[in-house]
Amino acid sequence: MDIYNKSLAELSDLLSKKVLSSLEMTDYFIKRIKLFDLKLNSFITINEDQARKQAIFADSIIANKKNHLLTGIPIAHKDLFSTKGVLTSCGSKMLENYIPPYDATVVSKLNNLGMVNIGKTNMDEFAMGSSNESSYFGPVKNPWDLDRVPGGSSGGSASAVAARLTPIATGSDTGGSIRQPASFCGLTGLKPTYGSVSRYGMIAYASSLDQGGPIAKSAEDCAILYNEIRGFDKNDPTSNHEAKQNNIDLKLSKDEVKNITIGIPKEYFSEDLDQNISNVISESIEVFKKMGFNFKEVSLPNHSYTIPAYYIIASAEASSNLSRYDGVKFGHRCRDPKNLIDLYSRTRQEGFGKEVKKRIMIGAYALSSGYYDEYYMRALKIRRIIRDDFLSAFNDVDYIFAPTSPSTAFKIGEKTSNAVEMYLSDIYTTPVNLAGLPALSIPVGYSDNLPVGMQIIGNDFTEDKILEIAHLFQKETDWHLQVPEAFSRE
Amino acid sequence: MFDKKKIKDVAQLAMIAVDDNDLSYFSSEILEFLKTVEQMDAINLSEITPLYHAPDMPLKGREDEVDIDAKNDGINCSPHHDGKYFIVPKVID
Amino acid sequence: MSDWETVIGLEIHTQLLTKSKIFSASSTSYGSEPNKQASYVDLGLPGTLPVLNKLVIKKAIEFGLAINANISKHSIFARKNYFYPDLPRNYQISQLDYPIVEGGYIDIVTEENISKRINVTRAHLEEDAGKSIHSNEANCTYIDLNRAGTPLLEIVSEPEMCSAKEAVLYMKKVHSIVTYLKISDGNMQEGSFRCDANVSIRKVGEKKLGTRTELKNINSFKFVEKAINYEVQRQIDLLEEGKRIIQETRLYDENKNITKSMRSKEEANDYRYFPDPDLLPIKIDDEYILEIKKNLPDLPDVKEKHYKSKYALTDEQIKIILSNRGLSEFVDKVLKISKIDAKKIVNYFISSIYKKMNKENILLLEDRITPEDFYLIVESIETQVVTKNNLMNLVDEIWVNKKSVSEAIERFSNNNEDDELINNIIKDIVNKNQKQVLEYKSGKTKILGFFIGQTLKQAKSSDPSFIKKQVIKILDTI
Repeated sequence: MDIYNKSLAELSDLLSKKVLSSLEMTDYFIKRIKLFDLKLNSFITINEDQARKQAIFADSIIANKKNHLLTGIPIAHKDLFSTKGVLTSCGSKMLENYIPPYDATVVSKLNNLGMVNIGKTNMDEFAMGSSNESSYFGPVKNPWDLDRVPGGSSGGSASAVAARLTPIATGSDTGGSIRQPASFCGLTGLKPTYGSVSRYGMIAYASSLDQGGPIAKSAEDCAILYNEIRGFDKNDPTSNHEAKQNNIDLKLSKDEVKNITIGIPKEYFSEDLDQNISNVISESIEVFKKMGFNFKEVSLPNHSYTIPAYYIIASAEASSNLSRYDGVKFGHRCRDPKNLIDLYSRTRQEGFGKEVKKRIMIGAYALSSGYYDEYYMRALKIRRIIRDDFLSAFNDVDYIFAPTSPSTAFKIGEKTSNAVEMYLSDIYTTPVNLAGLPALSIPVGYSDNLPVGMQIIGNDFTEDKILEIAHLFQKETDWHLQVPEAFSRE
Repeated sequence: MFDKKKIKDVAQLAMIAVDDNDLSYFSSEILEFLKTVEQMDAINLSEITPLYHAPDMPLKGREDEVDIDAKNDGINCSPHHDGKYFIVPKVID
Repeated sequence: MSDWETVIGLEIHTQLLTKSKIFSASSTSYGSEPNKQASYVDLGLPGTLPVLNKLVIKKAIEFGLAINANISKHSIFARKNYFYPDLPRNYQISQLDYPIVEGGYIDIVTEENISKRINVTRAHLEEDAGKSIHSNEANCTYIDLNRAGTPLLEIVSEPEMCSAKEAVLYMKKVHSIVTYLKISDGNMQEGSFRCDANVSIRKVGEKKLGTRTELKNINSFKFVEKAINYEVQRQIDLLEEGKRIIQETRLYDENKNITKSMRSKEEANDYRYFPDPDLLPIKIDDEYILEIKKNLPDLPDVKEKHYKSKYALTDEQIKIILSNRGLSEFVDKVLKISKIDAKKIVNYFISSIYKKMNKENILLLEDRITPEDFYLIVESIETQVVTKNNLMNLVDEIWVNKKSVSEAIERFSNNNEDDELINNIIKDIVNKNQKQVLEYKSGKTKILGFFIGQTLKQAKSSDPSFIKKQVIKILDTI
């Protein structure tokens, strides 16, 4: 029956028609995880007991015909979403035994619909990374090639969905952490407009950049999940009242398409971009053209300043957000502290990995007296001009297409000794976070048998249309339907 | 000048203990990183105002109400407590 | 005569009078079991976020308006980063640039009756930290986070006070403003009103400021004065011995009446302030400020002048009325409609309603008795419809028995029946006391007192002035 490859709507249909119960479906996916995940390491926690309880409850709702489309369907949550009573480690030794006493808003919204929390996925430690190699719980492998990274920081979620160990997963995106793994794994991943999805219960990395979102097999599945997780939350002070609440209907007519103009930033498609990736994207643009979309060149002139600005801002915010990990109220605590300073400094030395410590120090430095203006203030000003560049382009065009990553999935260990090179691989994703805009990464082809992703970027709160555009494309193409061979069996 | 002394100061601000190996590692890594940051100097930003949040929205507060349902059992997450207090090594004021 | 002059600046931290904390919906009430008023947000559990209590903005604006300060239309919360166990997130949410209140002044009147203006630099919002309890026996420190997140207004003065006495006057003035406006309950024993004093000395005429020390967390007027005086002398002694003053934080020991050096809480002074990315800027518009200004009552010293100049009330009376805003608002309304002399009606008020409130420890509630009702009661006494000693009865009839004014007056008014009764009593006394009658007739008007006294013995609740009238009437007919 290939249940593993069914869409959310198809799975819901199976449940409604009682072909399968939620409990059976849950057991099916858990069995799959146990069978395949040793190869991938995409899960930190398999939430078997609680999931089965949730599934049984979902079955009773389905029996009473009071179910939502998502009721009874399993989902995996990135391990930075607080799940009450279930380990939430954030990929770190610092929280390897932390059991939150409450659910993140995203989690509770989906629990309330009867979704089944099948497990917590692996991730770069404290969401700092682009390859999922910095996790305390070991690196994650890419189902398309087990010697390669799945991307990061939501590498576990991407790997799990790509290998069809879970129908869908949540991720978070601060500098590309949903989009880049989606692109490396042949998936569709959405970074919403900042403020659309509540950050309450999401363990914070960089407060003004973090956003939670879906990693799925299709734009349609993304839309179904996104419908339910977006919206204003009074527990999140950065949650936006304008975040929409209506259901996305994914109907884009030919007439509407004729009136849509897509911008191609000339700076993005320079000689720096890998030729294969450029070709794959060009071919998919042809498909869009045949569908009736218009194309135009645009310019994002300040593009090259993005990386330093992003890393300064993110590190500065992180350095402060991570101060709370001190062995006093939660998390790791060093043994036999001699005094308070020893408690703090040794707890943090032991609990944090190298990359996290490095970014905390960069952040502390960037905010320190004498350097604040030179680093932090300058970075915030660059943020302004990056956003202005996009807004200016949106005067001319409706949406922008961009590569998601300058490369396809690289080999494990290939970039770990060169942090700057690793940082530079975020060149196409970070501007979107700085600007607060929404962007979706969709699979558009292959280069050397590895998935290539492309971004659709829109103005504030245009996720609905972005998903519609992607959905239209996915009706014409089948890149998103491909399953890595090693996992395309029951 | 980002040297070992600077790293020691920064590590102290960040409250992270560092041994000599760490010091070498971090100072070279951070120096490399700061080189890329120098790119930011290439552009004139004097007329630009910093952007803290995008999209812009006003701060919305809440009414002055006590949430009687709010849980106060967070102390159970602590690695060192006696049920009443969090416990730390004695602080000398 | 000393050739040293003292320079003092005060930083006052006052806890705002709100039900819930500044960034979480936990209660702010004092004295709860340890860590039972510390929610997940207060503890800074991973993933929790601060949500601003709107009322703190209003209270900060009220204070700013009361001291004629500038209210920032665009105000920002900033993180002050340092590590300490009573600070759950190891940063305090405070304000650095763009505080909500800037400038303003407090006028004090010194002992020599000189008015002096002390300028205020700024007032800003921040959250309080928790409490540390050090234990020698257990060789550890216990942390209670109930207080963490309580809203504070930090009020910073310019260094313009020249003596401990001036500092105390300033502190008392600030205290009266915040308590009168209900911005804070000002309870110093519970720590709702704390003062840090920055003290330095310099040679008279010297323009440059000397090295200052900071005296921390003093919570009584008396100790502020003593601590500053001790510190000033300590600094003078040091400088006269040719030694240097170290810029440091010192604690006041009230038992020994000394200040002593405090080991620095924070290892580094670099707080790395930056705007809190979880909190957006506070935007305040003019209409909101005007709305608050409209509803802001006059402050005690303005009212005091008003009571003296317009109504000629005594100091004693003013002190009582201004002891509580509800009282003064009630009295103001009465005075507005009163045709009776102000001093008189205030005395009526003090001997009835105020007395009742004190005795029974209750709050004045205008839905129990209105200023209009009270005025009508007094009027009925002044016009002798009701006798004076029925004042409290009338009040109770309305307040406790919930009757209307007219019903109350009706019940206690002097009616014909009573007149008859009194006249009979008087006639009886007159008949039995011919000697006194003759004394009256011969011109000894003072003997009236005798007749009045005798009558009162039998008609205890009657109005003496009414009796006097009747006695004269009856005696004159003889």
